[in-house]
Amino acid sequence: MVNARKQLPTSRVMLHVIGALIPGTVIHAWLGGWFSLIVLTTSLVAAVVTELACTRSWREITDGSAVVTGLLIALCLPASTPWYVAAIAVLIAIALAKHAFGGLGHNVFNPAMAGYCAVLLAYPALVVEFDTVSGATALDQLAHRGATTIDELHKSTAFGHFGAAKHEWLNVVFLIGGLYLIAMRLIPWLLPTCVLVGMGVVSFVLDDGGSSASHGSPLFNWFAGGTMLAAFFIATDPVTSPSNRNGMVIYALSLGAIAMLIRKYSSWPDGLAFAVLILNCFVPLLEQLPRKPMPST
Amino acid sequence: MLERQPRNKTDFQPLDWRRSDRDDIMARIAAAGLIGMGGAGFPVVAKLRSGIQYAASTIIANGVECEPGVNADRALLRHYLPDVLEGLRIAGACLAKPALILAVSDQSIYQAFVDKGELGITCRLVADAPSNGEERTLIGSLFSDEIPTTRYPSQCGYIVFNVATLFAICEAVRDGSRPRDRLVTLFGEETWVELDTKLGDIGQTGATLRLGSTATGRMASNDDVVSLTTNAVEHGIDDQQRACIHCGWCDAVCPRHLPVEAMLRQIQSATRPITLSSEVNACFECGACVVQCPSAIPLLDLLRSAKREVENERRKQVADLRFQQHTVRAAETIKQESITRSTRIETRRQW
Repeated sequence: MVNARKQLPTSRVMLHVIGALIPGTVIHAWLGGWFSLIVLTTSLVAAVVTELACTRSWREITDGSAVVTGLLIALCLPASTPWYVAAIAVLIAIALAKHAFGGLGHNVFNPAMAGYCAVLLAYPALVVEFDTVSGATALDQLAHRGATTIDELHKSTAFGHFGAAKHEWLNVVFLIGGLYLIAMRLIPWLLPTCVLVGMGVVSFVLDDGGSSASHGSPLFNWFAGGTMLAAFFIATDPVTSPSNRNGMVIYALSLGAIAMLIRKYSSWPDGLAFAVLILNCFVPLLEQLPRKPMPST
Repeated sequence: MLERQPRNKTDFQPLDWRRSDRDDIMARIAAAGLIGMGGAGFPVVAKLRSGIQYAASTIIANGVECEPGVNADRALLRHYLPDVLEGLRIAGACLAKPALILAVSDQSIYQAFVDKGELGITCRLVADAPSNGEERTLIGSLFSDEIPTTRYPSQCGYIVFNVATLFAICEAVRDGSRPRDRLVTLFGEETWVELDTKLGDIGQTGATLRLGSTATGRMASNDDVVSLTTNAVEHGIDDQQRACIHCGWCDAVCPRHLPVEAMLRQIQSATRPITLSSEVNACFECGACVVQCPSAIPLLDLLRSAKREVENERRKQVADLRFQQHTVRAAETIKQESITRSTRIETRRQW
């Protein structure tokens, strides 16, 4: 007779998110080799330690949000990142972006992206060069290629069957993990869909069929860089995304579009992290959008 | 299952309602002190009077029970259906030939009614979805008619009685007895419980208790008693409240489309007042948001206290306004008096 499904508590939601990230993490570690395990361990340990230092309570750590933040940062950083850079990223994410704003639920910026962007700007040489997830290889070649056309680039080893080499499979695994979360009704289906639509539309408009200015088809862009990770796991953070439907659509469409514009027109290989932070600024504004009206009074 | 203490005396003379006057039936219901047993506790006679005044044309027996873990109404319909229908007819006798409708959410009860058939009463099956049992929502799904939150359904032609209320009406009028017990879902099992039984005497002491379901109930102590409006007694939820993560699930499930999260933010913020007062008042306390909240925030308790606060604020404003008007009037009177006095002095001087 119980028909109102009791929603899982936050800690269980986070467990499902971690579970959905595990296959991607395994592939990520396999692609990055032993070094990526160092980054992963450092990030997770730093996340737990920072969270404990900020909250001074064991209970807070059990909600799992700190572990998810640490894991997301580890998945964004290349395997070649020195361990201390990973630790700094996590420290900034949890201490500065989360607890300085008042802890879970009060942060304005996505902690993982704030930490990642901070080290991206502070140590560009260490974080971008052999970047494995946030683009590098294929996206990096596109950003710094001179007059090479996209067809010539496609022949290089950096490109795979339909996305960036190897990373296309990473993206496929993250896509499956994200679909699992949607099936469990832990994230709204609308948000990641709109991120992909936003990115797809802009890349379709910008795609001129293969000149040296082209940045690839929507399919390539969906399966290159950290697209699926960002669309399903980072943009859907409930705290830093709008909760009303209209706001969510605008947030997600612009996120995808801005990320694509940064990919094409800036010297950074990937723009998803920046796009997330830019859109985070607008979330309080988007929350004010009109909602479904209340019945007449 | 469903053992009930036998009654050894009647409180009133049993009334043959088919041959009685409307006023006699109403007087009997008033004497029995009946109130709505669905949860709100609205006096039955007041509802009937309002129905007569506004010429209500439909009486709905509300057997739609959609709260998680509460089955008291279902059990009543399974075992005491004839009495409930009799109560519905008695209520119908107070109005001018209204349409009598039994609304249920349980397929098997619906089937049982349809198989048997009952003259003059229609049975309607309603989807078993959260908060469908709330009267305005129910009228909406039965007749696609929207009742404004500022009016009672009886003012719009509909009277809704919980099935337990109709059962009590039947016993008060036909059998001549005051309500003395009611069906309660007691720790998951339907049981007849004498009214005014202390929760501490039921057993299971020491544990945290809740009067009402997990969703809509309130925390209770061992000294709280089972009343006419108690549909369930359950163990309290032992889940510690955590910070709101703005997931928006509460907004998504609210059947009234209220901005629950925004209301919560105003309630929890130190800087009052609550500006979303009409939204707070429009909440009908279905508890859907409580069931959904991943952070175990007692949204319903907060909303209830916010309602009280909004009401106090409103009364304060009304009182302030009255006081201002009074001050203005008093000043006016004094001014008038002094004018009359000075004119009087003037006239005297002229003499």
